[in-house]
Formats: sequence, C-alpha cells, structure tokens
Amino acid sequence: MSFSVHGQAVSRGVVIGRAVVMASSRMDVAHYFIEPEDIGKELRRMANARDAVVTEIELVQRSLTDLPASDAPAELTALLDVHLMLLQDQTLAKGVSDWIVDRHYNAEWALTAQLEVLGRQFDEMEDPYLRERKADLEQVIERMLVVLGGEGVSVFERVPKATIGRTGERPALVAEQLALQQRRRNGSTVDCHERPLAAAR
Amino acid sequence: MIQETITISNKLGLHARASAKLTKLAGGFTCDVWMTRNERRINAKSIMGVMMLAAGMGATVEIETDGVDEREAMDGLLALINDKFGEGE
Repeated sequence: MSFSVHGQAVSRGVVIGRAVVMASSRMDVAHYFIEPEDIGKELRRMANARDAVVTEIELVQRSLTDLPASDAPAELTALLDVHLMLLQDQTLAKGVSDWIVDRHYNAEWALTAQLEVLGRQFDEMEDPYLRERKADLEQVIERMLVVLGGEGVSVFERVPKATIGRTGERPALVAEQLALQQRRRNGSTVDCHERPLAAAR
Repeated sequence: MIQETITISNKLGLHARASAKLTKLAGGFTCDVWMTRNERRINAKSIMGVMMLAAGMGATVEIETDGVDEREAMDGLLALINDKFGEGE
C-alpha cells in the first residue's frame, strides 16, 4: 500500500527509507491531581523545566553566533529571543502556577491547560499574522513538556530503536511541526523559515 | 500618571518581534507601564500581555505610565511605535 503526504521539506535532497511519524508531545501528557503538600515541589519542577529550556535556547543562540553571518539569519536569533522572553514572562508563569496552586494540577497538565486558554485567545485574533504567533507559545510549552517528561533529548533519540533498521540508518521524520531547537540538535542546517515545518500529515 | 493614545502604524502590528522590543523598552523603566485596547488592560512589561493585545496595523492603543520616570517611559514608547519599531514599514 502506498500513500503520499504533503508538506514542507526541512532539509534538502531525496531520502528513500523508513519514515517515523511523530505524535505531538502535547497530546499525551499525564493528567493527575497532586497532593496539596506537594504544591511547592510541583512549582519547583516547573521552574527547573523552564530553566533547562532557557539554557537550551541560550546554547543554540551561542552556536548561532559562531556561524558565519550569512548562515545565522537575524530572523532566527530574534525568534529565539522571543522564546526566551516568553519563558521568563511573569504573566505566563502566573497563569501556569495558578493551575497548580488553585486546582492542584500536575505541572504538565497546568502547562497544557494554560496553553489552551491562551490558544483560544490567539485563535480569536482577527489579524492572521498575529494569530499565527500561537506557534511560538506552543513551541516553548512543548519544549518544557519534553523536559518535564525527562526526555530532554533530540527527537531522533526518542524514536524507538526497533523502528530504525538493523543497519542503523536514520529514518525520515514526519511531524506536524518541529521546534527550532529540535532541528538544531539533529545537526541539520538552520534555514530562516520563521515556522519550520516538516511534512504535515 | 500619564496617559496617551496612539495608533499602531507598522505593517505587521504588535507581532512577536515588535512586542519583544516594546516589552524590553518598558521593562527598562522603574515606572508601571500599562497598555489598553478594546477594554483589555495589560502590563506592557510582559511579552505575553503585549502579544495578547492583538494590535494589528491601524489598531488604537492607550498607554499609561505611572512612576518616577513616567515621562521618559512614555516618550520612549511613543517614539518606538512612531518609528514603526525600526522595521521601516
């Protein structure tokens, strides 16, 4: 059986081989209530995850400054800057921690709950360009979810070994969307699309 | 407290990068900086707040500054917006 998927290529060239379809990490987070005495612990988990993603983005920024000017588009540097600011934003942090403190949600659930609230507001925006900025928020929150899940590794490392051929060949990646940081870790070159997309399902 | 109304005139409006510039500028002052559009009032030192204003080109926003350096803050913010965030269009 064969079928085709359409989307935007992230890297150049043609690949023939096995493909791995990545589910969006947001879809499968754990939802549970924490004990009231664990609120402080959960807030610290959240803060640690945020700090880890901040460090990650700062690393990418540093690696970009090492590149020749032509290869480090100003667009991308500015975008990473926006992601850093979102991570350190008090309004966002307060919204997320309220779910933990008031409703006793676990950190992952709190993040997705707040993303839903803010996402709806983005969806209602009239200006299509502004509406699309929801993607920045989603990417930042997805990175935090990955860190919370203890999966601070590249997408390729998360692919089950069995799906990669015995020869160790790397599979082609099909995803709804790839975060910038994920692409950098895979060692691919960075191009200057503001919203990097792999083939959409 | 100072209050001013201004129209966003750059092509892309208060998108992510423009919001980042505005938030950074506002954050450099000690006074409080608030922005209001369509009855939504946000802290202009928060990028999330500024992005949520959803102020596209032609949107009218109200700026309030309140504190010791309110004049400098207001002048700086108006200049940034009038300069189309340095984007040239």
